[in-house]
Amino acid sequence: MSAPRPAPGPPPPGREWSSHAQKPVPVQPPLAPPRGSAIALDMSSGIPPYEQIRSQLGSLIASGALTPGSRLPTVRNLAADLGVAVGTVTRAYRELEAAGAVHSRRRTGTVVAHNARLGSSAVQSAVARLVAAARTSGMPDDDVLTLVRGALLSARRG
Amino acid sequence: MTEAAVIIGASVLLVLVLAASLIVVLLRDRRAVAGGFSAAADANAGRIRVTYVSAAAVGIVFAFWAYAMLPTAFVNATNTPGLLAALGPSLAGIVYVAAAMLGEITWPSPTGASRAAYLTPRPAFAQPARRAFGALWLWAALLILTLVVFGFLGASDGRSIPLNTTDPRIGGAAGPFPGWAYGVPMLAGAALLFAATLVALHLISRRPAVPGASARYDLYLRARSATNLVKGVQLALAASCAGALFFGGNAASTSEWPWGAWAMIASPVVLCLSILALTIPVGTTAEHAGAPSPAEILR
Repeated sequence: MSAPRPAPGPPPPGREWSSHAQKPVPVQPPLAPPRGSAIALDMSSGIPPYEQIRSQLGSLIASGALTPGSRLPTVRNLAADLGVAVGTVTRAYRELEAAGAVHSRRRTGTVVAHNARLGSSAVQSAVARLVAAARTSGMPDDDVLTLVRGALLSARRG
Repeated sequence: MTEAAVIIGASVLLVLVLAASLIVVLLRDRRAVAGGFSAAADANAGRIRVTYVSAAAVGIVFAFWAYAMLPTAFVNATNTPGLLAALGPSLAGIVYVAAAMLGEITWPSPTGASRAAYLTPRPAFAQPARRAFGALWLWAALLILTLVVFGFLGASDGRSIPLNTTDPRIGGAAGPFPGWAYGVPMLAGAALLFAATLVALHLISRRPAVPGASARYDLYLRARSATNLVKGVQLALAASCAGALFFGGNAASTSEWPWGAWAMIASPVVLCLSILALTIPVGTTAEHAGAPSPAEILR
């Protein structure tokens, strides 16, 4: 299972922002997320909780960690587990539905839509290989992102 | 064997079974604590223990109050004498479930700046240990069967059983007997208790996950709560069934029905078995896979 995207927000005590990153990204997630598909919230972040939920779910769906047809927790259960209002999760789910990443049915609940995954399988496997190589070499996540951004900028210029 | 001897023998048997069951449960609890569970695990398991011991205490106190007051002070509170006493076990069960629901509703929500949640969907109702759920279904089925059979055997007033004779010159009836006058409200009470149990199982499934716990440990805690809940409910249903068997058997014996004595003997047996069911462990069935390892809890 892939780890969720680090929740945005100020760095925890004792940690600093990466000097290379264009946007502030914590060196480590503020809360070590549980194993398996999970999301983490940083309530002290300036980013609204619904946006954190939406972006992390969107990343998990785009990366294939949540496969098409996977059922998401009910709005009430996820809201209870995260200690947020039901409306917060409802808004995140509604925005994901509007983006075509999930669809809600009365009987089945909210499930990941087909074709919600980003990129071809070749790109997906290349990304997986990159992440595996970075993990093996002990490279921090923000350095990996910096490398990818640099490669994207170079490709745009070239 | 006189009726008094049966009652005394049954009471002694009940006390012995209750004492043995309590010893088994307490020893298992001590073993679990000594088995290397972490402080976090103990805190969460302890909250469940406090919730359900408190709920059981409330239910038992209500049951004793009902046992003392409903057949005496409130015996004529309804058109059918003693109807509230017949409903006592179901009412005690409902009080127990309501107290448990209160504990589930007030389960602490995550606080603090950093929070996390699994994306694993949970079933609509928490899953108790299969044997505990089986006991609930068994007593529910036996209660329905007993009340329906007694309803058809009872006299037209629904409160007595006619004398077992083929001689048309001899008549008479004995009571109180759980015919339709008692049976229909008792069935309604049991249905209400069952509905309340489903609501409580839904609340257990919906309560917030324990922060930092593994998914398996969270599942184990829910199974533990659900099993505790169902154990109490099966005891209430069994008490209701035992009461119907006892009074039905007693009246039937008086009316010279040969099965009356058997029904009276079945009454304490049902109660003893339901008390033994209180010792059913959580991890005997599918829930066993959800039991945590200390490493997982500390992760």
